[in-house]
Amino acid sequence: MIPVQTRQPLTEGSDLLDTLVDIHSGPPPVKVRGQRATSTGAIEESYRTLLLPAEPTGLSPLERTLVAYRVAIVTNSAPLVEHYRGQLRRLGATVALVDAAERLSLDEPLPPRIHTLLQQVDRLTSEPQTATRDHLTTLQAQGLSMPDILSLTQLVAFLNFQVRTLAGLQMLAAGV
Amino acid sequence: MTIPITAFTLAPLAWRPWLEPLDYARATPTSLLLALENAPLRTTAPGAPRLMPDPAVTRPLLVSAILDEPTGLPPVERELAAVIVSYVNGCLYSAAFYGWRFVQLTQTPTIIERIFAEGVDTPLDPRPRAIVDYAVKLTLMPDRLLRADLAQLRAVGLSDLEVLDLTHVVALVTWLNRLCQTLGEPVATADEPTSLP
Repeated sequence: MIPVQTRQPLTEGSDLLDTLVDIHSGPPPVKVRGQRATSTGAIEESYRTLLLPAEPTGLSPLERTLVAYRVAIVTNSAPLVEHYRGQLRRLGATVALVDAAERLSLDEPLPPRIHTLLQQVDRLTSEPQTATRDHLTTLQAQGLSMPDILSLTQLVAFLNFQVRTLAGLQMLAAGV
Repeated sequence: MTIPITAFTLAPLAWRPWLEPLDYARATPTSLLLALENAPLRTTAPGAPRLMPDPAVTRPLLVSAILDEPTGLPPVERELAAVIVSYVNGCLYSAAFYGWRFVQLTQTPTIIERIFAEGVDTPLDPRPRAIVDYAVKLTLMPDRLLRADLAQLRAVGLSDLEVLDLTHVVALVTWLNRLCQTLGEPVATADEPTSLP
């Protein structure tokens, strides 16, 4: 288990995706997003619930952020890589850990639990159709609890959503 | 006796979790809620993943906001995109479910059957072609989207609001597919899916 600081993560702007689209594509923001306030609010709520939980169970805040960071790396989402790298630093992750989590090959020394988590991240992100029941059994054998596995699966699935929503918003912003 | 499904089909499918729901009793209510409250699973379909014991969270806001939005991208095109994403991701359960919804709306299985048989390059009219191309690219290569992809969608008449809706559907189904694919498997069933409320 990696020690985690108990400090709450920094408050973001009102909406992460709007913030990232603005930063990386420049104004004007994607205007039509204003007509989808319910979706937009629910997306932000999902982000906060999964990444910035008030009372995290299953994966720790640092582990959650590492998982998110790894999905951003694997999917080559530059704005989210930068965002989660910043979050990792705020949560007290060491440079060595952040570096190890961004290498394409996960053979570099990582704490065993983190290694297990990130291997599953890679599989669920890049080859979801190869997932089997045995993988869940293996995760449990490697010490992950049921809440750990559900947290991990939810996070990876959500991050794949976040990456694609942001990519579409950036495309729309660039086409204004 | 349940038979695992190994090929794309429009036949009714159920979903069998690999982690038995009984095991969830060992987790605390707080841990379950935190782990599951954002699970955007359509539990209104028979056999849909029953991961959430609390009925209050069985139909999360995000799913209904994206899939059941009354304006913008027409429902049949949402279902088409959902089928395509599920097909590309190899999620047999979701492909069958959204395929069934598509057939309900169009009253013909032809297009979905052709996609399952011939793949996403099967000939289509220009507007569905552009929607399918975008769904495939956003599913497989989200980092490669270009202004030209937006231009292609606009050229067949999609408004920016429809493009946003399409983006939301593609992204959401990539989320749902991963839950279905990594926490359980599709099995044959005799039950037709029921209509969503």
